[in-house]
Amino acid sequence: MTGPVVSIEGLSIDYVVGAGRFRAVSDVSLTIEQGQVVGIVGETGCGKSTLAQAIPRLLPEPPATIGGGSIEFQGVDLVQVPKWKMPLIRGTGISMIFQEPLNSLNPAFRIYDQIAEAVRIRRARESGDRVADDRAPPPFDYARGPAPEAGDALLRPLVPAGAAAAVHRRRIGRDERLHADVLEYLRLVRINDPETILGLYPHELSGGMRQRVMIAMALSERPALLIADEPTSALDVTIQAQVLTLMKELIEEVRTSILFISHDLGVIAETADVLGVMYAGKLVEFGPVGEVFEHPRHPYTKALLRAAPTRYKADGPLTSIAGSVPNLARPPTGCRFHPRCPLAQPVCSAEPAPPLRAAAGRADHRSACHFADDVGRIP
Amino acid sequence: MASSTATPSPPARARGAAVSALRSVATLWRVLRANPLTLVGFVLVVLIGLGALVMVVAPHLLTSYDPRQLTGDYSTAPSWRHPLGTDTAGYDIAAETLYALPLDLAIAFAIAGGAMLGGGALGLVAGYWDRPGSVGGALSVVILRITDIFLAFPSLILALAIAVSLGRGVWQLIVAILVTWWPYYTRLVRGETLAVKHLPYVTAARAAGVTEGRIVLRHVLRNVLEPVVVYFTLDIGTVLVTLSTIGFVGLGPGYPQTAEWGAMISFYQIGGLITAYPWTVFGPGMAIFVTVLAFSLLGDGLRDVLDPRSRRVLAGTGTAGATTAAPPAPQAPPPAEGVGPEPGAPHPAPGGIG
Amino acid sequence: MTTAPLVEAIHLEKHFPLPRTARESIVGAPRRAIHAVDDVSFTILPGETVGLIGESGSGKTTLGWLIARLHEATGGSLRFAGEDILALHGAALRRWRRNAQIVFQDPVGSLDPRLKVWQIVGEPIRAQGEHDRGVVRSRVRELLPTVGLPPDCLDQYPHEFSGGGRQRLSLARALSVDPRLIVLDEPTSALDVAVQAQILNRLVELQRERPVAYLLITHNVAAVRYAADRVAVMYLGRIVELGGVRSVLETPLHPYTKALLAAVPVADARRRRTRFRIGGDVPSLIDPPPGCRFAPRCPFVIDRCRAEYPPLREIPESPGQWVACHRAEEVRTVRPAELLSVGEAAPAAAPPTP
Repeated sequence: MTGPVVSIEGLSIDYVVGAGRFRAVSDVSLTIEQGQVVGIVGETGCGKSTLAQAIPRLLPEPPATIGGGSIEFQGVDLVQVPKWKMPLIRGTGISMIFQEPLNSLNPAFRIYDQIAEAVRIRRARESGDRVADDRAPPPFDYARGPAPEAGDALLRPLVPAGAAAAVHRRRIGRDERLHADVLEYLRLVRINDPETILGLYPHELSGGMRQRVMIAMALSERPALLIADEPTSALDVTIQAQVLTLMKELIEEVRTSILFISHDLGVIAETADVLGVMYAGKLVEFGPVGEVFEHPRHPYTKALLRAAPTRYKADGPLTSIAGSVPNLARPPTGCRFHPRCPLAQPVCSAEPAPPLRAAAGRADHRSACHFADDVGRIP
Repeated sequence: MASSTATPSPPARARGAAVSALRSVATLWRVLRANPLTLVGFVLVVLIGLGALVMVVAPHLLTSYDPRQLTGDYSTAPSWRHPLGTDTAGYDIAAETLYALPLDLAIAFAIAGGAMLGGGALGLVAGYWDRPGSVGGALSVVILRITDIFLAFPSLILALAIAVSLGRGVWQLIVAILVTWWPYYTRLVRGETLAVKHLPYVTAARAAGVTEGRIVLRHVLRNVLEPVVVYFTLDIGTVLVTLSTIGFVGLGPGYPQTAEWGAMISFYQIGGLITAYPWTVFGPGMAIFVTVLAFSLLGDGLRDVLDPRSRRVLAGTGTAGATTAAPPAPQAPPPAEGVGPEPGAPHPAPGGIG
Repeated sequence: MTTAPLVEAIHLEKHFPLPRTARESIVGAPRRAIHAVDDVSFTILPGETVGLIGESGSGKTTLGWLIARLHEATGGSLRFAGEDILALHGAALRRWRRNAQIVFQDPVGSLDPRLKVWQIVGEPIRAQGEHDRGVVRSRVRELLPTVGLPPDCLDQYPHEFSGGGRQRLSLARALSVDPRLIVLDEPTSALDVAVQAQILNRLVELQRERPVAYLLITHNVAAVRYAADRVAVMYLGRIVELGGVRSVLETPLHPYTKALLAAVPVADARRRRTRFRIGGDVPSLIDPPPGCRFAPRCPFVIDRCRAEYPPLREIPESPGQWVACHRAEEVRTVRPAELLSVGEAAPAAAPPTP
């Protein structure tokens, strides 16, 4: 399919708290192309995790509500899809991996059962698509045929019934095939001797291994989009390096698009093709990662880059960002960053920040600042 | 710059204390108002408590009958003279129900209070001084195993058995239930102590040179107390039901010798009298129901009243926690965003490795 | 000029014994233990900052706690300003504690949620003998601006502060008794990047104003580069490299240090480099094998590494830098990928296979 995998337009997400509501994500628009890695970076409370969980509609819908906008996934607006139908899109269309694998893997089930569950679900859904075939099973091949489009996926029954289900039951009764597939998925994530970990529980594995199992589960359903919410933040640096290298290699092999959320600029620099910077619920800059790092066009991006730990110099105080993140229940008037911005002018508090505008000559690098061209002059 | 660094004078201190007392009453009122059911429970409990006090000190305010006063009317239905009717023994049911109120409350508090103090103390020891290989460790193991043994019995049946062997009477009733009740507190306090014991602020206190005893009192007990008090309040209701049940079965104090709700109900349904005089059980039955309901409602909401964090949020005086790293109260919204890398150790030894 | 060291650790050891399974007790197998810290020797001079870097399981937190006397060492000796502090117990130990304080990683668990700011920050003052409320409050009021907090927040509760604010409170508490050493256990890991910078700046400034030494335990290499004078790298309970911060970070000698530094992601989009990666996971700390603990994962390993543990030694080519590697001289010139300075050449070829 041509065109972007995900196209988010003007998305806003509100939380209803007691009597009031506040806007955790404000009017965010971005696109994720096929095979692209989009990084979203920002500090705590900027809304990046909320955005990530909103795409597959994983947020609990009270107290969260979608206050406006659309999320187009392969041509289907996910905001319009009723929530009970979303399981058909999740997994096969959109997969997600989280920060702390100890919390995301069920501690009561062995590794084999967890991955097998993912494979079974996919097979159950596909059983409605194909005619029953009891002959020799095809060999494992991750790249065998594309997953169905979101529009077709939504037409499947939520629970396969009738003849298709009977075939499905007979198929998964063949444990050897399931077993073989599980082993292949584990090898896909570069776990040597996967047989040894099949019988283990999640707490018996190290953090890096658990994260690989999660990636295996996420990829086993051949998603078009993988959302990774701080997948390496809880890992040691050397293990993080291993997992990031693995993810980059897998991107080449399976050609999934990835939405990578992180607060670590170094990790984003290594993995992402395109970068979005969020502040206080708004997307303030969006563009190719090299461009944004070299020529940031928003003062907040510039400040983040300067404060990044790898830029620490041995002499002189570290640069931090003056002030603190605003309370989203009472955001500043006009541009949300203006109280902390070195370029602030009266127009910044009087009028809201402009929508994302492209630089002259570079349509793919956009930022939401009246003085985007002056950012280069900040020391 | 700073003006009052010295200790303020006594009258200023007293004024300051009064102001902060008033402020906390106002905060309390706002918190209670935020949850109407808790307010109902609180009001009921206050009324019940006042009623018990009045019945002990000046019973004539509430009822025109003395305790144990034979009215001369036997088994009459409710009327103006006897709002809840009279029973076969000749007593005014409303009066007897009211006279039983302080007794039942006292028994319930005695049982729950005794279990909390005794069981709680054991739980504290078992939780705090439980290093394997030390004296405390051995003692902890002993305490825990005994607790397990007692928990293995169905508490009501054990209490009944003990009550049977002890005979009838108020003290016998208290002892019988207390013996089966303490293990729940032991478990609760032990669990809470274990949770608090390893928190960094306890270690920080130790690093500051605070003595172990003071750590237990100031840090551990104060933080353990909150869930225990909540449990205690809810427990009053459970204890009341249990003691009424034992009274109902025919043990514990007997009616009409002693006015006690369970005993009264037991007396009224002997020999099928209840079909002849159905209004009799209404008095003590409603009394039990209302009392248990009151304490349950209050207990549920007590958690919010006691925790300084939710107190502030509900009273609307604090920030709504958008930027704090505190664990979100039930209303607080966004999912925690990358609090930061926390390399997990495979074996969490005390203090953490690495 | 040599100054007397403030802290001297000599062959310090901390083993956590594991409880034996029933089978092991019957068979009489020897007790197994987690070797959290083994044979660690180093010094801290007055007023300097020593960084301690390593990953999970390295023992850096345990070592920090040992030095603050929050764990009991199972071997070796520890001297503070010349005095053997392992021999201190009870009241003498509590009195000594004013010399060494600790700041923890967890901003939420470090502060007792039921106490007010002045009680929390003033606790060490009170523990060391000052009981007058007024004096404690005024000392706290003076202390708060030095950590960047407003002086009038004495009566607030911890949950009203952000993560950065809470760490400042922990720091104020540590400073309240004018310690000569502060152990900082990952003080900024749970905070945002911008707040980390603020806290680190404040730490460095404070050291200019008062004679306090820091033991900065962290996995953030850049923080060590900024704030530390010397750095020790730990792996699986032992120090594998020790030296001045510039030398170790720019010319690391130990293969693990090289790998660790190479694994740190750099916020520069030009570097999509292949990194000097080490495979495998961190092995267990339980009864580790003899020989170098990095041997299973080291690309330069030879047989001698597995048999014999390399002592920490200084090699003549790099004076002032101590490394625990048999092949230090040969692997010295192998450069990992670029470190923390931008604009260097591409990484050297793959390491020589043994």
